[in-house]
Order: sequence, then C-alpha cells, then structure tokens
Amino acid sequence: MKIIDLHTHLGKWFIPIEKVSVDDFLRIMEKNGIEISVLSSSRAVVYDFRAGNRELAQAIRPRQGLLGYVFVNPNYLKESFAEMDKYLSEEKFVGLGELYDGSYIGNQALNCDGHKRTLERLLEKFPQRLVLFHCWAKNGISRLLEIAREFPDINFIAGHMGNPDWETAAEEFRKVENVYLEICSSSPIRGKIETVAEKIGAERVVFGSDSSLINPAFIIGMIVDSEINQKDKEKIFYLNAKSLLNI
Amino acid sequence: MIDANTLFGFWPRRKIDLSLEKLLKIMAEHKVETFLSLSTTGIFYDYEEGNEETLRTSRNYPQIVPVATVDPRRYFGRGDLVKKLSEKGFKAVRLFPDLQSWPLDYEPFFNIVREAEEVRLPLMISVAGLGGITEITKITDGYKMPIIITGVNYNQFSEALAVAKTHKNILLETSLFDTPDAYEVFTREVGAEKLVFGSHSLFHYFSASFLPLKNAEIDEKEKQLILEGNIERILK
Repeated sequence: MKIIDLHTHLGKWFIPIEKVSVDDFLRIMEKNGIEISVLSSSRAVVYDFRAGNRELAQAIRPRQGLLGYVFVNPNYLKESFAEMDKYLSEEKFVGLGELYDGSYIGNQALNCDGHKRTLERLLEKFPQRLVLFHCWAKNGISRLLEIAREFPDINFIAGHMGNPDWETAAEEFRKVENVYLEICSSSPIRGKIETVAEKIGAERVVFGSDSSLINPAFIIGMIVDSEINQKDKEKIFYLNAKSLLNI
Repeated sequence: MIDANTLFGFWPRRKIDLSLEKLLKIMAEHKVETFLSLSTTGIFYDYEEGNEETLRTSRNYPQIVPVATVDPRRYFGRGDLVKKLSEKGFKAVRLFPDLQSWPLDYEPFFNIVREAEEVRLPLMISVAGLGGITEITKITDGYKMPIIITGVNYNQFSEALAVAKTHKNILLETSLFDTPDAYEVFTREVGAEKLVFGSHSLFHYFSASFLPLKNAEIDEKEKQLILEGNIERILK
C-alpha cells in the first residue's frame, strides 16, 4: 500500500538518535514504503526557525519525494512573515508546520494572535492552504477548533490528534470540515484508529509518523493491526494526503 | 517468539477489549508461541484475586506463562509473599507504580524488592517520566535478580541506555522502543542480550512494537535473542 507521511522532521532531537541526516531519512522512507514525506525542521521547531527553515529548503529542493512546511515563531512575527515570503513561493513548500502550542515557543498558545496573523497572511498572499499544528490533549483540541472556525478556507492537520484525547478530538473536529486527524504518538493504544475512523470518518484521518523522532514502522503497525477495512486504510495511508497535497 | 508483556481482563480507564479470547487470538495471529501474562484485576482491584485468575488461566492455556503482581499499597509486610508466589508457579512479579500512583521511594516497594531477591524471582517494573529508572537502580543496587524495565520510550531512552550499560541485572522490554534506530543504537552501545520483546498486548497494537524490531538493521541472532532467547534464559 502506498504511503504519504504528513508529519515528519529533518534534524536532531534531544534524545540518542543517530539517523538524522537527509540520506538516513530517505532510507527510512524507502524501507517503510513511504512515497512522499512532508517535513519541518526540528531545528526550526525547537530552536532557531530561520536557520532550520534554511536547512530544510536546501535538503528538499534537489530531492524527489520530500516536501516542506515553513515553521513560523509567533515570538518573531516580522521575521516569520519574511520566512513565509522567502519560501512559500516555492512549490516544494506546501504550507506551515509543525506550528506549536506553548512548549518550544514559550507561552504562545496554538490560538495566539501571532499564529492568527500568520494565517491571515497565508490567505492574503499565498496559494497554500495546509497547516500542521501540534495538537495535544483537550486544550490543544479546543484551541485548534477555534482556529479552524476562524479560518474555514485553510485545511488544518491536528498533529497527534489530541493525544491522549483522540475520542474528544474526533467528536470536536466533526463540528468543522477543515481539520484532519494525524495519528502519530508514542501511545499505540489498541482501538484508537478504529475509534477515530468511526467517529469522524476515515476520510478525515491521515498518516504521520513524527520521523525522525519516531520510527515510521511503529506508527504503520497501528494501522496495519487496526480492525478497519482495506479501503479505509488506503485513505489514511495515502488517498487523503494525496488530496490535501493536490497531487 | 515469546511476548514478555501481555495483559488480559478489563481496562476501566478507556474502552478496550482486553478479553482473554482476544489475547489468545492476537497471539496466534502473530505466531507468538509463548507469552507472559497477568490479569488486570491484580492491577486495578485486588492483586491476590488477580493472581489467582492468572494462575488459573495459565493452567488452561499452556502458552501462557503466569506473572504475578503485588500492589505495594496493600502489602501486608509478612515477608514471604514473593516466596509463596514463586512456589505457586509464577515466573516473575510485575509492579505498576505508574498506574497505581505510588512513589519508588516507598518502604513497601523496598520490601517487595528484598523478597524477590531472596528467591531470585525476576521483577518487571513500568516507570513513567525521567529519573525513575535511575531510582530503581539505586534501590536494587547489589541485588542480583533480573529486573526488566517495561515501556521505555524515546523520552527515557538516554536514561535506559546509561542504566542498562552499567547495571548487569537490568534489562529493557521493548513495547515502546519507538525511535528510528533504537535497536541499532542499543545493541551497539549495550548489547542485544539486555532486551526482551514485549508488545503490551492487548493494551497496544501488536505490530507497533513488532515491525520496528522486524525492520531493525541488526543481526538475525540478535533479533532471536530479543524475541525469545533472553527471556527464556531469565525464566529458567
């Protein structure tokens, strides 16, 4: 079955992982049968967003199968706008991501004013309509729901689908049409795929691995073992992402 | 293949089918010949009742290796509990500080550890967060019974590597070995003989833990140790 991975990163993490180069990343994709990955830079997410976006652009431009998200930091709004101007004119960059909710960006929440102004600018100036947000627990879910209602013309990916509250995520995001649940986390709790596929529909669930942090095989195993039909698995692994990426 | 980490029973905190029938079916589907298991009654309600269920079930299904549990919050401190469990046929004792919310710095836990050491019954302990694995090594310093840390994920990987490298009797169970090169890094830095495969079925999807090991770029011999050799050695 073909796979598109909508939640990946290029770069190092604060844990002992050696396979962090772009060549390692491509090998991991090949080994797991992943045709296309959409990446954001881990350096951009956890540290210096401009240096990270630059590294990511250099890595994806010459390589097939790799697409990118521009990361913006609401603590640096003017500079974030400049990053959007710099990269969103390129076809290789398909949107913004993995935009955060507190944590790496201090006390700026998912629904902060900076993120909202960034989304307004996306709508005004660029054709991309895809944004991956880190969406964790009930707070993340309610904040993303607010954003999704305010920006109905943008498709949002709820990274981690509100883990550990995926049931709530499926119920809440049913209220809008522009949020897709992305499944990755370190909690492969049996039944979660079946639950969200039933509550919101398999056409609103997408595959993401969080590679290079998490092994894609770990996440693939969740779908492989889930008790949903093959057509729904195909939607989650590939078809929904294909449609979101317009390919 | 031997799965060192399975459960059956009922899960009150989320709707999941943990029935014995389902566990037997999933283990058979994945060609798991032997699996260590316990009833969740022992985790959430009463460990004595749970242990009886586990033992009874293992007598009916020879593929199940019975694992006991003790809830230290209900430990009577008589000093012979683990010995009695061993005599009844349990092959290991599992402890759940993460699910039962007791601290590692806790005298009833120290007593259970001492009892396990006296009869050299392996201990399996699930620890959440950072620092817990290190704490266990301090508490068990000088003890010789095998201690298997279950559910180590990426966040605890550095700590687990450091501890497994320096403490002979510490092993790791692999249900949450989720970084892209966890097996490659661990086997090179520490050695495959310190890992035991576990899926945490029925709570987790089996393939989430199995596929990363199947795909790992390590020797087939190392995979065999992880999949069955190490746990066989420990249970002997």
